[in-house]
Order: sequence, then C-alpha cells, then structure tokens
Amino acid sequence: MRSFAKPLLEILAGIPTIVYGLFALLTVGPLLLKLFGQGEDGVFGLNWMSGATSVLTAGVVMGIMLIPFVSSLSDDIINAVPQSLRDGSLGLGATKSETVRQVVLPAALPGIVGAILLAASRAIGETMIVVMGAGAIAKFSANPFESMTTITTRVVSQLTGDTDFASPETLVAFALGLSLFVLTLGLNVLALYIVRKYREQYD
Amino acid sequence: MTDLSSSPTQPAAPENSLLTLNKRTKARNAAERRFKAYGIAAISVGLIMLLVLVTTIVSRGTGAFQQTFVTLNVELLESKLDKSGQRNIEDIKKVTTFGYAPIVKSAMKETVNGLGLQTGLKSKELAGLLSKSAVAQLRAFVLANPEQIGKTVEFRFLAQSRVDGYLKGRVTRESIENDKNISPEQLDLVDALVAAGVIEKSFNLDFILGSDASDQRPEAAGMGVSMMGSLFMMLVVLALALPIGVAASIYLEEFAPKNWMTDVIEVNIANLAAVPSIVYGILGLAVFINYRHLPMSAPLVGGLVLTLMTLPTIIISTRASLKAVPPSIRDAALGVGASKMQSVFHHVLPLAAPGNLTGTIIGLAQALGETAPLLLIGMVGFIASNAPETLSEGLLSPNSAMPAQIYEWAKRADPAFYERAWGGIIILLLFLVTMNTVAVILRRRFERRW
Amino acid sequence: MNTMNMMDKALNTTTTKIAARNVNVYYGDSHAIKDVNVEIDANTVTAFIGPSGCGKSTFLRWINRMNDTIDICRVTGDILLDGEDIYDKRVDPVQLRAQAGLVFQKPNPFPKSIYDNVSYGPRIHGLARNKAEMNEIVEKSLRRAAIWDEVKDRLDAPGTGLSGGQQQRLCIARAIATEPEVLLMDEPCSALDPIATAQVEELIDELRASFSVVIVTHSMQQAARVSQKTAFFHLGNLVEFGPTGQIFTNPEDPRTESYITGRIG
Ligand SMILES: Nc1ncnc2c1ncn2[C@@H]1O[C@H](COP(=O)(O)OP(=O)(O)OP(=O)(O)O)[C@@H](O)[C@H]1O
Ligand SMILES: [Mg+2]
Repeated sequence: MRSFAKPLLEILAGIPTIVYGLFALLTVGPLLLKLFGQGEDGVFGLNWMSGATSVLTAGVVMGIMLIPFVSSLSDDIINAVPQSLRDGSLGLGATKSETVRQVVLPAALPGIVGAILLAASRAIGETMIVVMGAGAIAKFSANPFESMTTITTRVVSQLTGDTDFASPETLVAFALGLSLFVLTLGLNVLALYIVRKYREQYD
Repeated sequence: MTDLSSSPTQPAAPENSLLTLNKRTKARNAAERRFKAYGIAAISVGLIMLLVLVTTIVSRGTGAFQQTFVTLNVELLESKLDKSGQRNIEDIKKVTTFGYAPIVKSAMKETVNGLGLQTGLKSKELAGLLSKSAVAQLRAFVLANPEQIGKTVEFRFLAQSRVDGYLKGRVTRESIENDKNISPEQLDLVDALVAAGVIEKSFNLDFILGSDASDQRPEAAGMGVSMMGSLFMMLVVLALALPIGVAASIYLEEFAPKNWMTDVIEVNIANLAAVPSIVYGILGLAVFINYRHLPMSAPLVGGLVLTLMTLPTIIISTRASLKAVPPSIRDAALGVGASKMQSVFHHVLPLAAPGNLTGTIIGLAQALGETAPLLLIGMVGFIASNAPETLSEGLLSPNSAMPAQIYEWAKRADPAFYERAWGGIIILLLFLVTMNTVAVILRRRFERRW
Repeated sequence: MNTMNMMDKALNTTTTKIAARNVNVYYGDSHAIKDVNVEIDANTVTAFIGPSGCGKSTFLRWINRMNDTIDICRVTGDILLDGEDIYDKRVDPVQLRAQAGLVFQKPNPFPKSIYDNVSYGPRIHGLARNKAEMNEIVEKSLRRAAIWDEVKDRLDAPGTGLSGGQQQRLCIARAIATEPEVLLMDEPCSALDPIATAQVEELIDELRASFSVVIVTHSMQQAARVSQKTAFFHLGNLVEFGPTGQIFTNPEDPRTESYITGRIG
C-alpha cells in the first residue's frame, strides 16, 4: 500500500500549477457560480457571487493542490518517528490509534507544523491559480465570494506584455516582488528551522 | 489445562479472561475504528478529488485530439489562379488568398448540389462552414504543385470551430442564438453533409504537431511549436543546471570545509528551493532582459530563468545522494593511494549517479510545467507560427512553451480554445508523469541500503 | 492474597503461568525460533540466556504479540497464558499486552515528560480514577524502578533528556505502572551501573511476589542472582531449561556448559 501510494503522492505533488489554474478557471469557478451565483445561474438563489473568479475559487483549488504536498511531507516526517516509540506504546497495550494520537503525532508535530508553514509559503507565492481563479480587482473585502487580487497577480499584470523598465508601474511590480521574496523567505526559514530542529532529535 | 492453570493467586474471574473483551477494550476498539474511519474518509476525499480532476481533464481534453474535416473536390480553375497560363511561379504567387476564396465557394456549392441537397444558403455561408485557413491551405498546395492547376483535386479542409463544436456537442442550436458565426440553417446543412459523409471527425495530428493559430481559428491551433519551445528551454536547463549543480554539490559535500560559510550556503540553497517561481521570473526579467538585453520571449531566457529555479532542487538531491555514499568507500579509495579527486570521480560519483539522475529528472519535470516566470519574460501572447529550424533560431527566436501556450488558450474568449487548453494539459501531463515515473523507478531500482 | 502467595512458596507448589508448545517463529525465510516448548511458572523469575541473535528478544516479543507489528514475521504453535491461547482469534492483543508488559532492549522513552511517560499506561487502561491516584501510581512506579530520587524534582522534564541508564529505569517504571501479570524484561540492566543494577534486581525479586517475571540477560551472575528458573537458547533452539541452580552447577547439555563457562557466545 505504502510503496504504491507514496510515489503516487509524489507524482501528484509534481502536477504543475497551470493544471490547477485551468481547473479553477474552467471548472471550479463556474461550478461555484452555479451554486452561489445570482439570477438563473444560482441553484440556491443565494446571489453571493457575481463572477466565476473569486477568492473562494482560488482558495479551494489551492487547497486541493496542497493536499499531496502536505501529505507527502508529513508522511516523511511521521515516518522518521522511530519504530521503537511505536513499539513502546503498543507494548504497553495501547491501540494503534492511541499510539498514533498520543505518541506518534505529538512527536511529529513540530515537523508537521513546519510542513504546513512551507505549504503556506507556497500558497502565498502561488501565481497561476490566483491569476486564473481569483480575478484581478484590487479591493479590500471580507467576502470570499468576490474577486480580489494578490501580490503575484499584480506582478503578473504589471509586468506582462511590453515592459517599460523606467515606468513607475514596473518599479512597483519589482517592489512587490521583493516583498513577496522577503515574506516567503521568512516563512521558509522558520519552517526549515522547525523541521530541522525536530529531525536532529532522532538522528 | 484450564483447571490446572487457574492459579490460586489469580482466580480466573470472567472479566480477566483474555478470550472475552472487557468493556474498556470494547470502547477503545470503537474509538480505534472511528479513528480509522476518519483516515479512510480523508483518503477517499483526496481520491475523489483526484478522480474529479482526472475525469475533467480527460473528458474535456480528449476532444482536442479529434477534429472535424470537410472533404471537397476542388477544381483549380486556371482562369482564376494563373491567368497567363505560363505556370510561372512568380505570377501564381501574385494571387492572394482572396483570389482563392471563389474557388472554395464554388467547390462547396458543387458538392452540395451534387448531393442534391436543398438549401437556401448563399455561397458565402456555404464556405463559412470551412475554417478560415482553408484558402491558405489551398494556396500553399497550389504553390507547391503548380502543375495541378486546371485539374480537380480532393482536399480535406478543417471545418470551422462552430461546426466542430456542433459535432462534439459543445455547440448546440440553443447556444448559437446570438452567434453571428453560424446559423441554424447552416447546422441543418451540416447534419445533411454528415449523413452524406462529406463532414466527418477524425484524429487530429495537427493538434500535436502544429502551431498556434489566431483568435478566429481555434480549429487550427496546435501544440507542436510550443513543444519545441519547451524542448529548447529544457536543453538550456540541462546544459547549465546539471554541470553547475553537480559541481556545486561535489564541492560542498566533498571539498568544502565545514564552517559557518558553508552552513549559510546550505541553508540558503534549501530556502531558494522554496522561493516562489514568479520571483525568478522577475529576476530574469530584470537581469537577462533589462540588463543583459537578451531578446524577449526567447527560449534561451526562459531556459536561464528555469535553470536558476531548478538548480537548488538538483543540488539538494545530488548532495543527498553523495551523503548516502558511506565514508568507508572514500577511505578505501584514499587508502590505496587515490587522490581526493580520483576517489570522488572514480568511486563516489558513480555510486551517487542514480540519485543525481533522479533529482535532475524531477527538476526538469518541475521546470517543464512551470508557467509563472514565463509570463513575465514574455513567452505568451503571440503566435509563433513556424517551428524553428536551427539551434540558434530555436534558442533566440520568440517562442512559447507548453504551459504558457495552455495559459494563452485558457485566456481567449472562444470556448473552442478551452478544449485545446485541456488537450494541451493532457500532453503536458503525459510528459510529466512519464518523467516522474522514470525518476521513481530509477530511485527504486538503485536504492541501496548500505 | 499475599498470604496465599507465601503459602504457595512455602509449599513449593508452583503453577504454570505461561506455557509454550511447539513454537516456531520465522522472519521471512529465516527461522528465528525452532520448536520451543517451555513452561513459565507464576511467581518466579525466569531468566533467558544465550548468545546474541539466538532469539531471546523474539521469544519475549512473541509472548505479548509484539511480533504482530512486523509484517514478515510468521508464527506457529500455541502459547497459553493462564490456560488461554493468546493467539486465539478472540484475543485482542491490546488486552493481552496490558497483562503482559514488555520492557524493550533499547530504552525508548516517549518524547513527553517523565510524568506522562509513566502515566501513559495507567491512563489508556483507565487504572486511575483521579489525579491523586495517578500521582500515587507514578510515584510508586518510579520508586520501584529506583529512579524516583533522581527525577522527583523534574517530573515535567522530557524523558528523552535522561541518561541512558535513567531512561532504561524510566521504561521499567512505565511498564510496571500498568500492573501487568507478566513482566517481560529484555536486558533491563544493560546500561545500568552496579548500584542501579542492584536496585533493579531487588525490584525484580519484589515483583516476583505478585507477577511472574521473564528476564533476558547476558550476565551469568545476574541470572544466577535473580532467577529461579533459567532457559538457555542457542541458534533458535531451547537447549536447556531448568532450575537455575541446576543449570549453573550441573548443566546437562555440553553447549550450556561451554556457554556458561565462556567458551561459546
Ligand atoms: N524484525 C526482524 N526482521 C528480520 N529478522 C529479525 C528481526 N528481528 C530479529 N530478527 C532475527 O531473528 C534472530 C533472533 O533475534 P533476536 O533479536 O531475538 O536475538 P536476541 O537473542 O535478542 O539477541 P541479542 O542478545 O543480541 O539481543 C536474529 O537472527 C535476527 O537477525
Ligand atoms: Mg535481544
């Protein structure tokens, strides 16, 4: 089972984001619009959504994208918990689920937190899904059904096409890129630090 | 046995028997089952999503590999194509595609009349069933075979995308109410022509080998040229990332002193692997295009950017495989008098090669599917119509790449392009899954336990 | 109950706690235990001795079904605990393991506090009704494992931070906290100094009053000191099994004799 599922997970984690982007644009977005949209389109007549692109669309698809990433990483970490700990728990008469919940997971927790941080940094830097799924309207709203923009979308819209390197738009895009870099770098350093520190425990 | 073993200190009270589960164990087993159920539920959700994804891609994308063709007998009228009758190629070239339009129209009319079909359509509307590329196809044929002028030749023209969509079920009579590209009468005729075998669907090699087409001709768009673009980028990545990556890992792993400097480098490499790809795109735009003035949209620039992106991946995996070679091998080589370099190149590197290869393939696969940085260096938004012929042309002339081409199609307004985009995804995924599978198999096969 | 125990001993009537019949254990193709028959008495300490790799740990793991967790492991034969076949389909290994505690060869404290390590077993088996009872169990177990004085001030410190020998005693405390009927100890003194060893041996002798104890050891002296019965394993075979005194002074099998006198092993 493992020997089959693990490579599958890795291959899934290697699916390029353009695939998910297309999925967001052409499948999930229209589907959500059908569910929560207005007028004849809305199945529930909720009228919450005005267009197929929305934060929710991008979020849902990104969540799907990160499943194999997080599970593959967490699997590595859980696997690194020594068998002797599991044996110790089982030998005392714990059931498997008790062992997992009370011994393995707490032992792997820091690593899993690190994995989730890495996933968060990927989500922040993710471009294709938001460009294709979230729309490009620069506004600040708490409603996930509206379309909004992200750093990456702004960068893409400012820098595609003919670029004039002296124009303020371009400079803004570079500044955005720099902030993105710093932000994700910070997250990554933190995540890798946690993962590493935890690994040393058992080496 | 039971009587014998019931020791006086431990009367075999029923609740103590192993054969009956006590209450607490039952409760705990129930909790166990619940926990398992959660796990299975999570896996099922994941699998269902995977299934949805795969079925969406397959069901929406396979259409792109089929295309609707119209078979016509076209009389290549000398009076229209070569007025002088000299078969002088320069004269023939003077006739533009406009000059071919009447020929196509009349061929269409002939066919309809020949089948005895009644239609109120004008000849312009008749020819409208064909792709706009039909005239160009005809002209290219005539220019290549001027001796055929005056004869009647059988041609397979692409049908226009609405007709194609109608045959594939994408276009329906309801959906075209406000569509000026096609009318219900034309669809009636299509039905009749399908029945007569003039219009038919068949395998579309051009989608795999052909080039992209303009907004008006989704039926003619193909992946081939952007595939070439991707190929040239991969060449650049391979040529740069592999040697640099291997050299860097060998130095860091075998020669570099272990001090804070190398520590910082190591942490940095790990971090770079997780930096968003778009940042590399910005970097490439600023450095290669703005500063070094390399041509925009060129696979060379794309390759350079992707090299930067792949290097950390390759370095990390190569270092891991070098680390996995036990020190005893190095000691053994050094012990028989090999130099440090000889021990590395003769003994350590060959043992680490499979791991290195796996990392390289995975890195290449990543690079192949990457879109975001390519948007910034201009590898979308135009149509590269000809496949490059030489290496330098392949590297320097503007081109697209597979994922960028898919993005481009996804952005266009005509839904006919969406089918192309899904089809492109199928091709891209075939490449990626093959590469990743090879990597997994390689790792399995050469996985060594020392 | 204690008085009955005393009487038992006085009368020298022992009862069989564990009976193994025609036990075979395979790891894949390798035959780790070959057709072993052995009867382990209640309220006695039984020592397993034998050269490294002869299958002592495997046998212990077999008694509390820890081998279930190893995929390639296959077992045949019967093993009866209080006359009940522990490999019977109706037996839940979880319930069995609560009755037959195992102290592993390598100390494996959980990455939790010392307190949580010891209270883990009682908690999952519901042995304490309240916090006070739990505290009592933890203290009692740590005292019996001769580690209380060293850790009483830092019960919240992680168990993994202890020294090797301390970890080993912590694992003993963890195992006895669940009050098993059978205590299986795999080289419990391998990392202990002579003082701690003496304390653990004292504990073993004390435990004998209520449990039956099986101990694997590489120290002949220890086996001679603490056990009443000794089993000598060699290459997966049970070569000789009998009262400790007899094995050490008057072994029947030449292999036993040469091992005890230090010529093989
Ligand atoms: N998980 C396992 N998988 C495969 N073989 C195993 C496994 N565990 C033990 N063995 C094999 O079974 C045999 C008996 O091992 P066991 O651990 O019982 O020895 P031991 O008597 O406890 O030795 P030691 O005194 O060194 O602890 C050995 O040959 C060992 O290689
Ligand atoms: Mg052992």
